[in-house]
Amino acid sequence: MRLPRQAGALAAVLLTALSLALPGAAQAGQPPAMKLSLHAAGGYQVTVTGFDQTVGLSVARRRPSQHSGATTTYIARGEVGPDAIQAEFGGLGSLSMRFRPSGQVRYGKRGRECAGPDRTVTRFGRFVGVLRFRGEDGYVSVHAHQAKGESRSPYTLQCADSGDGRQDREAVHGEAAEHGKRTTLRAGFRLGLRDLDLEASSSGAGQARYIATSEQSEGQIAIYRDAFVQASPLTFATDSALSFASVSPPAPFSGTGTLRRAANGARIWDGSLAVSFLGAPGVPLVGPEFRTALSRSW
Amino acid sequence: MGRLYPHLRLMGLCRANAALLCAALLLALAPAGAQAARNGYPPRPAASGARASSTSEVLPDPTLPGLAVNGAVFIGEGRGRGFARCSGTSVNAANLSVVITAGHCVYDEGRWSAHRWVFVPGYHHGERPFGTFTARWLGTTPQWLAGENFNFDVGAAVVGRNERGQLLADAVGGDGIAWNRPLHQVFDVYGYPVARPFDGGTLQRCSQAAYEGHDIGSFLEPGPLDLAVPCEVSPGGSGGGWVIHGNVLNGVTSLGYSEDATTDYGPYFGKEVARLFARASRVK
Repeated sequence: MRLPRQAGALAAVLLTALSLALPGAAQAGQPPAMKLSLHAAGGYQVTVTGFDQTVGLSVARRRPSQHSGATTTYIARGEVGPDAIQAEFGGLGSLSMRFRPSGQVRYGKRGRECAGPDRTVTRFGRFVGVLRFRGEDGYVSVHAHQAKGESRSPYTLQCADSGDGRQDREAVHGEAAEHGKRTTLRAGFRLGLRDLDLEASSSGAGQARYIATSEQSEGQIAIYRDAFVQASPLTFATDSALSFASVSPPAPFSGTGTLRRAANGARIWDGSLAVSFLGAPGVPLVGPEFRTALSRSW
Repeated sequence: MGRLYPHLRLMGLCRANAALLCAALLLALAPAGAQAARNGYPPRPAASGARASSTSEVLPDPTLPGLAVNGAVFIGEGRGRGFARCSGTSVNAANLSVVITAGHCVYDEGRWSAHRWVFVPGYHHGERPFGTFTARWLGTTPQWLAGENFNFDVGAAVVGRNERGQLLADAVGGDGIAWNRPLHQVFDVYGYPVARPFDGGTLQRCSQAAYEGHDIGSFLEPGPLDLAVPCEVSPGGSGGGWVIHGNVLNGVTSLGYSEDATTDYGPYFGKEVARLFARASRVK
């Protein structure tokens, strides 16, 4: 069954293709997935991931001391062969590199009841060639002739089991760690080839969490952006009747967004709230085009 | 937050048809015969006449020449389980009996729509002015069959004669079909959307240029990137024809997002569609 593609899942699919055994149309002999990464000036981490005809270049910057970060992923059509990867990212750059294995190999955990290969093989090494990339307005610039990386084959397994269950246990621990009622504000819109969403959540005296995501398609590339921060619970205010909410998250966000009821009962979501994604600063997160939802857990 | 149309089929699943699974998947590209074209197949008019040219409208008389190639698709779900709805287009083929629709309208969630697949050209609020044409062969692209890759969400049906003994293209004509065309065409998007604000009883047409971009999900699957047009289509519109130059099929409605009903997505017609059309055309 083909599952609906959800906005938040897209980057995860792309970026975790090398680290998760996803159910799908895995076939013996499929070309491998490739991943290479390097550091760029300004504290940016650049990661290129490729599988099938899809190549994504992710630029990430984490600010652990501020509990915030942002990632922008540029997705393009490309060629991912047994030992090479290449792609064009519109006017932003291009990639053409060959993989040279070092001989270091890691074997994945065997899966049960697999159709085709029952485990992945990851070969480590270096990519050599040319990677040129310049983000919008030059916020990041990369010109590299080699980078560390890996080749994983096959990049997906089609197996009945789902690994060692570690994810499930982590999820349980995550739920158990949540104390108090969680209040969540969602605002977003999709129009044409653009989607923009904000999720703000707060539970009791814990930290408020904010994440904004954006999808857009421009010509032959797609761009997925996210930005997040954890902040004081004082930045997220609501009333007990959920008729009002106000959020004022710190950087990479700015300003304040207010959700309230008009006299006729209509929701009004306005203010000055904006987010600065990597490569797209000052994107407004309020306005009449946004659909909103304010909820609280039991 | 998900792609909409394939997941809001009106009633349940379709049954498998093992025989169809055995159909050959790779056949020659171009259709045989003098009418074959390098990247398409010409239209077959049922009679003279021209289409209206407004942009977004209800077409009150879908029996007009040129419009009757569009039809509603009814997909039986088995005894007592109602039917699903899609849309389709009669295209000119050597056997005069080919309907092009979306892949998920013939093969969905791992099953062929084999119970009873009926094409009703010119459908209008329950009226069937040209009768009904029941499928006797269904096919789709290998990529849709193998993994429901939406970049290849195209299906075909070969239908039998109607109650009057007519072949489909003899009764209503057939659009031409083209592939490997430039991305940014102006499309007439046809269909019988059922979900609100539509009612499934009328043929709708929206004329718009394709966006210069693609659904972001399209990038994550192999194949040619899909196309998007600023047209409002709801479930039931799946498989409706995207027509260029008035009478040449060059796309079908495939999917949409629940948050944005005003953008319609469809696969690019490339060589796999040509192969599918060739296979359908050869069915006797």
